[in-house]
Amino acid sequence: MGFKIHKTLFSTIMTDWALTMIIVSFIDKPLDARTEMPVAEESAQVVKEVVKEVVKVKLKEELMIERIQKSQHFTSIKAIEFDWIFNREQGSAFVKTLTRSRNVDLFSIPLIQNCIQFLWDRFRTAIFLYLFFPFLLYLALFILYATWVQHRSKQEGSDSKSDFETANIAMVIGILVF
Amino acid sequence: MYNSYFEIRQLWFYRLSYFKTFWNIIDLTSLLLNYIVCILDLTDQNQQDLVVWTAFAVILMWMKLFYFGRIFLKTATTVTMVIEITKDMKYFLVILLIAIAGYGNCYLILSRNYTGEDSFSGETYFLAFIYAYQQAMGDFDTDGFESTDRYYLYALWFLNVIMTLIVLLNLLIAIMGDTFDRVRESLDNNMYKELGKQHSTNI
Repeated sequence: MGFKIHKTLFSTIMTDWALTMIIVSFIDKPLDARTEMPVAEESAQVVKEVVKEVVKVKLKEELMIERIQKSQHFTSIKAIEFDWIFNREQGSAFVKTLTRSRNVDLFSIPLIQNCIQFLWDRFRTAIFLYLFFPFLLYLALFILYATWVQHRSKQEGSDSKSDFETANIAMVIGILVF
Repeated sequence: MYNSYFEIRQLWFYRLSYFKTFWNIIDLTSLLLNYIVCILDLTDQNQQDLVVWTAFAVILMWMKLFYFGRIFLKTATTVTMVIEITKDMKYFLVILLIAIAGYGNCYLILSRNYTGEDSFSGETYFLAFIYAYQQAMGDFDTDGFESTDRYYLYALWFLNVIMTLIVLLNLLIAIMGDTFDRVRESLDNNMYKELGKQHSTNI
């Protein structure tokens, strides 16, 4: 009888994990205190072992779930179909319209941010390489010419006037070619 | 040649809308000025003209460097801030110029009674305007006021200081504060806008 009762308990354990934990703590109490029915000590011992075995398995499962949960990372994958952005006319018109808009809140939309970030990552190197560094070189050349060489080449009575005149012509040609 | 190629390419691509962007005009003007300076120098033209052209060409080159600050994430916000503040103070500037023009005009008329050698405000309206502007910026030179109209002059000076230096310039600081807050609030959005602008202008 007692065995049957525990068998029922066993099936309950198998179906409901939360209940299992309660039952395990319940089983740990003296058997008589639970049911008042006479239960064979041997069968009770068997049931206890079975339940413990089940609990052990469950604990393993639980550990495994915990391990999986710990190793889980939430990754959101967004797929935006915007291959048209590489189409020179459409893409440029899109970015141009966006940047001309007076509504700055447009740039708070993640989709827009992703598009701009994507474009920027792609073109940043090109902007640095083909625009910024050549401009710096050009600026240095022009400032040097305008501030120093041009003035010194026109200064009368200077010993190095002819040198500066040569340098001046060279720099003017350099600026024109750049 | 190299810079011209980029400008011509942009001009070709944007056609007339190229001229709608302020910085495109700066780029084009800077390029043309540089060519003018080089040609004037090579053809040995008037030295004084060359100096003036060179000075303007140089300031535009520095402006271009300032605008290149947009391509760095750290400086893009500051560049935006300066541009936005300049945009927001345009109506304020009109009011300030009206005030200075008015005071300058009044000084010029009152200086006609001045008996000394050099009039305190200058002989022309331009000089009187500059005089009123200097006062508005805190230059309190009142040495020339010792004439028959000195009480009127001091009253005018007092009004000018109150109106332009205290009221208007503090209003300018308030306008700048508002703009600063507005740009700060949408810091990320402005950064993305600048990156987009950089892309649309150059690519």
